[in-house]
Order: sequence, then C-alpha cells, then structure tokens
Amino acid sequence: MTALFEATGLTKRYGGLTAVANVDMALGKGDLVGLIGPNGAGKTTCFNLITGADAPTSGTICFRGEDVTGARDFQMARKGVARTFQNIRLWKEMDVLDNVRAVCHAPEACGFASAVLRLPRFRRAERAVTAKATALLERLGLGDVLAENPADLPYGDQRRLEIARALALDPELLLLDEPAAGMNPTEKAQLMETVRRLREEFRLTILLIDHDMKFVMGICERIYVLDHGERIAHGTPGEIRCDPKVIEAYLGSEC
Amino acid sequence: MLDYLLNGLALGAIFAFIALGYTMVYGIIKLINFAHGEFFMFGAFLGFFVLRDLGIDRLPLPQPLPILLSYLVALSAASLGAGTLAVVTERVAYRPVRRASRIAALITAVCVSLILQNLAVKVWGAAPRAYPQPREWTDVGALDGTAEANLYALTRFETTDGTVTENEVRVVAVGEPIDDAMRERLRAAGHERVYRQVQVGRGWTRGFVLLALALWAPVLWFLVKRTRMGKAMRAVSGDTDAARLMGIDINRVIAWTFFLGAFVAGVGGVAYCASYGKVEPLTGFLPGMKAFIAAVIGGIGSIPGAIVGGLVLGTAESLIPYALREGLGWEAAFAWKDAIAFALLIVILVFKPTGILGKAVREKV
Amino acid sequence: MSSELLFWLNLLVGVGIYTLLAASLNLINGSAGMFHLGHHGFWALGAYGATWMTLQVGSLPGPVAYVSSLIFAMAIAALGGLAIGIPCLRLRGDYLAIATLGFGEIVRIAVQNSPHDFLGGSLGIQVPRVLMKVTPKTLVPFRVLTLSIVAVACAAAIVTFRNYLRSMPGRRLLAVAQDETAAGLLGINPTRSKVLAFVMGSAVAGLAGGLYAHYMGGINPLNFNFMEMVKIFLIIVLGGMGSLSGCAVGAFLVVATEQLLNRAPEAIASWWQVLFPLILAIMIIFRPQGIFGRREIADVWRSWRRRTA
Repeated sequence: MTALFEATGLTKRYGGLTAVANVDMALGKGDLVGLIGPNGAGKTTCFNLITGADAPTSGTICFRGEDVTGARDFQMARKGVARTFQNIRLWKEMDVLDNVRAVCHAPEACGFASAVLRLPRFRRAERAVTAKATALLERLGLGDVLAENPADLPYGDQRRLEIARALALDPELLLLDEPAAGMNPTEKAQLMETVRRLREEFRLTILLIDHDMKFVMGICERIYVLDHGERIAHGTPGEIRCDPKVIEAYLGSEC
Repeated sequence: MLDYLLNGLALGAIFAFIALGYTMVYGIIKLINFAHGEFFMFGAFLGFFVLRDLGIDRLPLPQPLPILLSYLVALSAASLGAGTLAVVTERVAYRPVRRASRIAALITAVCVSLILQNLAVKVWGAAPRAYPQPREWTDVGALDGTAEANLYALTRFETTDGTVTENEVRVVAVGEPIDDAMRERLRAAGHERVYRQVQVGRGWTRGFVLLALALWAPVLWFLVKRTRMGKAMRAVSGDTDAARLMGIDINRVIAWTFFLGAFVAGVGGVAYCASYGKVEPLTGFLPGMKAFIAAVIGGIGSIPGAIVGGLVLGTAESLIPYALREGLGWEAAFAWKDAIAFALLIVILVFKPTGILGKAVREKV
Repeated sequence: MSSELLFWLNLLVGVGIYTLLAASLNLINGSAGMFHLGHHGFWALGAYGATWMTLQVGSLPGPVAYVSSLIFAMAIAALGGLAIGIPCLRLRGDYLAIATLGFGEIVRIAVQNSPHDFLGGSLGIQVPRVLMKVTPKTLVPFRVLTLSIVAVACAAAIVTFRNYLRSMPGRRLLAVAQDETAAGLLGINPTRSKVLAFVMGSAVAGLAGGLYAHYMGGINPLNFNFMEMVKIFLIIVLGGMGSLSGCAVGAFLVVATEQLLNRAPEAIASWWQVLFPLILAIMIIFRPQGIFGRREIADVWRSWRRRTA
C-alpha cells in the first residue's frame, strides 16, 4: 500500500537557525498519527511545511503519489490537506454558517456574473453549498448556532467549528494543531471519541500535535517524536513511552 | 552634471533631516506621522518670521556675524517651535489612538496633517511668501565718494533714528559705474550712502546643509546609543510592554521622540525654504511625502536608513531626470520628478519593503 | 425658485457620484480590508478616459458616444486597478496605504504634466456635451437627466456589490480580509480574491469619473487631489465601513454639508477645510464603526421594529 503522504529528508532553515532537520514521515490512508516533542522541537514548522505555508529548504513531500514540494498553501488545501489552528483563527465578522460556507467548493463552476445576476445556476450552487455546510455543522453538534457569531460561542464549540471548517474542504489528510488545548478531562474524552468517529465517517487520515501525553497516547496508533528539529523516535504509544531518547528529551516521562 | 549631483545631495540632506523624524516616530509607535510635513512647514514659517522681522542680520557687527547669528536664531526658533508643535500634537491627537487599530491611527495622522495645513492657510494665507535670502550688506561709502559699483548696488534709506527698512531699498545699478548724472538722481531721491548686497550663493546653502547633516548625524547617533533617553527609546521601539514593565515612562519617551524628530525637521524646513526661496502653508506636503519615501527606501525605523534613504532619493530626483533628458532627449523630464519619487516608492515596496537597511520581520502562524 | 431647484439637483448629482465613489472604496477598504488611499487616481483615470473617448467618438450619436465613453472609463480604471493591484496586493496595512497613495499622486502628476493638447495638462480640458445641449434654459432638464443616469448607476453598483458579497466569491473575499493566512490554508487564493475586489472597485470609481466628467463639462487635475480622497474616506467612515447604505447616507451628509456651507459667507465656508478632517478624526477615534457599522438600513429597520413591537 503506497503511503498517502510521505515526507523525505524534510529540512527547514531560517537564516542560521535550523527548525526542522532531515525528518522522514509517512502516513497511510486512514492512519491516526501523533507528532510530539518538547517546545521548539519543530512540530508547528512541520505542519507549515506540510500545508504549504512555508517551503522546505530541502527534502521532498509527496501527497497521493504526487510530488508537491513547494506547492503553496491554497494549492495544498485544494489537493486535500486541511488543518486547524493552535490559536483559533475563525473569521469573527461572519456567522458560523458563513465560516463553513466560505470554504466549501461549489459543485459546478459558478462564475462571477452568475453570482451577481443571481442566475438559476448560482442559486443551485448556493443551495448545495448551504446544505453541505449545514450538514457538517449539525454533524459536529453546532446545528443550533448557525447564525451566531463565532466569538460568542464557548471555547469547545469554537474548536469544533474549526474542525467543521476544515472538513468543508473534503480533505483526505487532516492536521489538528493542539485540538485538546484548554479542555478539561471530560471534554478531552469526548474529543477523542469525536476524532475517532470523524476518521471513520469521513475516511480521513489524521496527524495531530498536542502536549497532553494521555490524550496523544490514548488516541494515536503511531507517534513521531521530534526534538530540536530532528526525529528522535517513531513507534506505537507503548514503544514511545519506554524509549530512552524520548524520556531524555522530556526529562521525566515515565515508563 | 556635477552641479546636478551636488544639488541632489543637498536636497537629499534636507530629505534626510525630515526623514529622521518619520523614521524615529515609526520606530517607536509604528505610526506614519503624516503631519510631520506640517511640523517642518511650521518650523520654516517660524524661521521666516525670525529672518524677516527680527533684523538680526542688520546688527552692526563685523561680517559675517550678523548673517550667521540671524540664521542661528532662525534655525533654533524653527527647531524648537517644530518640536513643541510635535509634542503638543502627539499629546492631543495621537495618544488617544495609540491603542486603536492601525487604520484609525493613520487616518488620524492624515487628518491632523490636513487640519494643520488648513489652519496655516487661515492664519497666514495661502499665498507663498518670499523667503529672506541670506545676504550681506557692505557699506561701500558715501554717495559722493563712490566712483564705481559694479556689483549689485543697492542703496537704502537710513531713517532719522538710525533704523533701516527694507522697503526703501532700491536697486540702483548693476554693473554700472555711478557717474555724476546718476549721483544727481540718487541725491535728489534722498539716498546718502551706497551699500553692496552680496547674495550668499547656492554653493554656500548646499554646503551648509551637507555640513549640518554631517554634524547632526553623529550627534543623533550619540543621543540614541549613549544617553539614557536614547536607550529608553530603543527599548520602547523594541518591545513597548516590556519597556513599561521595566519602569520606563512610555509617555515621556514618546514625547521626546516626537520632539527630536521635529526638531531636526525644523532645520530641514529652514534649509529647504532658503534653497527654494519661498514658503507657504502647503510647503510641507510634497517634501513631507518625499521624505517619507526616503525613510521607506532606507528602511523605516532605522536612523542610518533615513539618512541613506534621504541622500539616495535626493540624488535620484536630481540625476534620473537629468539622465532622461540628456540620454533620451526627453525635454520635460524634470517636470516628472515628483512622479519618479512615488514610482521609486512603489518599486521598493514591491521588491524590498524593509528598505535598504531594514530587517525582515516574519509572521508566526 | 428655479435656482433653488438647480441647487438641489446639483447637490443630488454630487451625492450620487460620491455614493459611487464611496461604495467602491468601501468594497476595497471595508469589505476586502485593504487600506487604499489612491482611489482618487481611479476616479481621475475614469474622468480623463471618458473625456478622451468622447473626443474620439464625438461624431457618433449622443447616447452612443456617452455610453461608450463610460465603458471606456471603466475599462481604463480597471486596468489601472490591475496595474497597481497585482504588485501591491502583497503589501499590508500602512505599506499598502502609502503605495496606493503614491499611485494616486502619480496619476495626478502624469495628467498635470501631459502635453496641453493631449489631455489639457494643468489647465484642464473641456468635455464635449454629447448627451444634450446645455444652455441656461436647458440646465434643469440636463441635471434631471444626469441625476437619473447617476441614480441608475448607483443602484446597479450597489446591487452588484451586495449580490457579490453574499455569494461564494464574496464570502471568500471577506474571509481573506479577516484572516488572510487562515483563508490561504483553507483553500482560498487570497491574491485572486483581492485583485477581483480591487478591480471591481476601481472600475466603479472609473464609472463615477466618467459621469463626473460629462456632468461638469470640464475637468482639471486639481479636481482629483488628495483632499478628495480624504473626503471619500470620511464618507465611508461616517456611514460605516462595510455598509452600503452607509455610503449613500454618508455621501448625502458630506456633500450636503459642503454645498450648504459654500452658500454661507466666506468666513464660515473656509472653515470647512479644517472642519471635515477634524470630523473624520473624531469619528475614527470615538465611533470608528460610523453610523451603521457593518449593517444595512434594512437590518437597522428590522431590529428597530422588533424592539418597538
């Protein structure tokens, strides 16, 4: 089975600082993989390289068998790579429904003229997009707040809205950046369930970053560990827990 | 061509003086102070009134002291006046928007600029006024004794109480000897003595401005690098909140920055108007814009950048039209020099927005 | 009586033209979040473009010449929008502001220095009356005709903008305006959205320029100076950046105040130049959302009805 996503020798240098050094990563279809490491290890930089927000200094990225190294952010998104953000980046002057609708693609090509003149073609496309956005929001439990402003939602709802928005891209690969940040244990347990079920329903491959070890170990099938930009370990949660290099990097993880 | 180069450098020095104010203010509160041109204009007007009305250049002292003194006072008045206006403006108009969005702050700056311009029009009238040119009066002798006067020769009345008024100055003869016939005419008109007026040449003005820049640059460097206030300025421009937590009085530092920037611009104002011979309420707009462009070219926020940018823009404004005219035969090239400055701005913003000496800043995702 | 009518007709035409300018600037500044200070450049491009075209096709029947000059005006302004938009739309905030300001000034300087027989240069240029002959007797019908045309143009522009903003490309634009990085990472091409909005805005400003040129019968570069830009900015701030009805209301307030003050004695009228930047500064400090914020008259009416029901 060819990997859905493969990064080889991924390196990113900012002037004299090497943020990511020679990292290899592979994700198969349907995998749920974690990316952990102490602060400054280069995890967010990896996300940026994968999503096309930054171009790698060297190394290659292959997505669905295609070499996408150097592709720009919106190009990667359209190919099927979506992400959520560590600091929530919702569009605060649009309501919840519009946040998701803005990301949806119209089923049929719909140009500027038909939008302005409100031609039937446009109306059909609008209905389809609205239906899709509404369905996604309902699936994530946000069906009652469609007309609300995202800033008025509780924190957990905002995080779920971010996920709904990312799913509107029909992605194959979903990157979650600290999805459990700021949640209490109950919410985190719910989130674990949600993530697993979303993977099933939407046939996603998921790569996530988080600092909560219990959360990561509890949900991920495999984990990559970074430290100072280098990959120092890779394996199942059980293997990672006892890996001496990982323990040393974190200084105090227990076996 | 050397002439154009020197002109360009002198103009560049003037831009540099004004650009320093823009760059210092931007460095510290990230605001493009559109009204800076008006501080410059205000300084120029104060200098104008000193030069025209205080009559220091006619003090009975050995030359060239009266001229030097006159200019010294004019420059001081211009600088102090511009600096004071800047501090007041900051307190009244900019402090309330310090916490507002960038658009709000910039719009406020534009409005302050327009308000000051139009207030100046209301108070001083929109018409341009001739800037007193630096001049030297030499008493050549009594009318009876003088045999020749082949330079500018002006006579002026001395009133009974010994004061001299310019209104009564008349050009008698340029390059002509004062013969008996003329002597008769002059005596009949009431003239008694002959004076020679020598205008301080362009070369002197240019030299003065460049010299002033050369003197001020190390002074500013010293102020910013070695004094406590200078260090405080750099701290605030680096990280305002941290500076505040360290006990630095932000308001004082910002006020000082505005004062210093406008102080230096005042010098530029007098130099500019003396070079071009006139001053008007709208004087500040175009040089202000260009000085701002100079600051961007050199790297906004960087003091050496302002100086470099100013010299670059001044030289470009002089040499590029010259090259276009001589090289491509484009007669009207000089009329477009203002457009050249703006075009340079767009080019720099597109290719190297941080300017020649600036540093790139990255956004964290 | 008739001079009162003439005054108010003139005022309303002015309101219409400034509404077009404000709505198009609003699209760029308010909806697309691009800080643009060069709108007067597009206005000038449209006015001069229309004038040039009219001079070329003056032999054609009146309405044909009129309409083709307006189309040409929009095209020229849109090209200007592309020319400045594509290089500069990578810039943000203050930098974009001064780059666009520079563009506006370049247009003005270019016209001012152009040969006198081409576009009139600093002396200005006459615009042939192709729509109808304008004499003191026909002034009222001329103004009424122009007013109707301007009103239609305003309605068309506002409907276009409104439909655009409430559609997919429009939502993408708003997303880019509110968080460009997030939008890019979620599949939206920010440059495309911004350029489209910029070109739309510049084209409508060009339309306003063409209408203005034909109405005034003569234009010169001083009509399009930076003060005008600030005036248009005041209108959108007053009305509320992001509100289309706000543009119309703001345009009415500003134009009416200016025209009425012009009738006052000189001593009072000359204070307008100091007054309106002051008003803008106060608005932006104390009530930056303007009268309507991002809402339209319809929304305000609805919430008022709800409260009083």
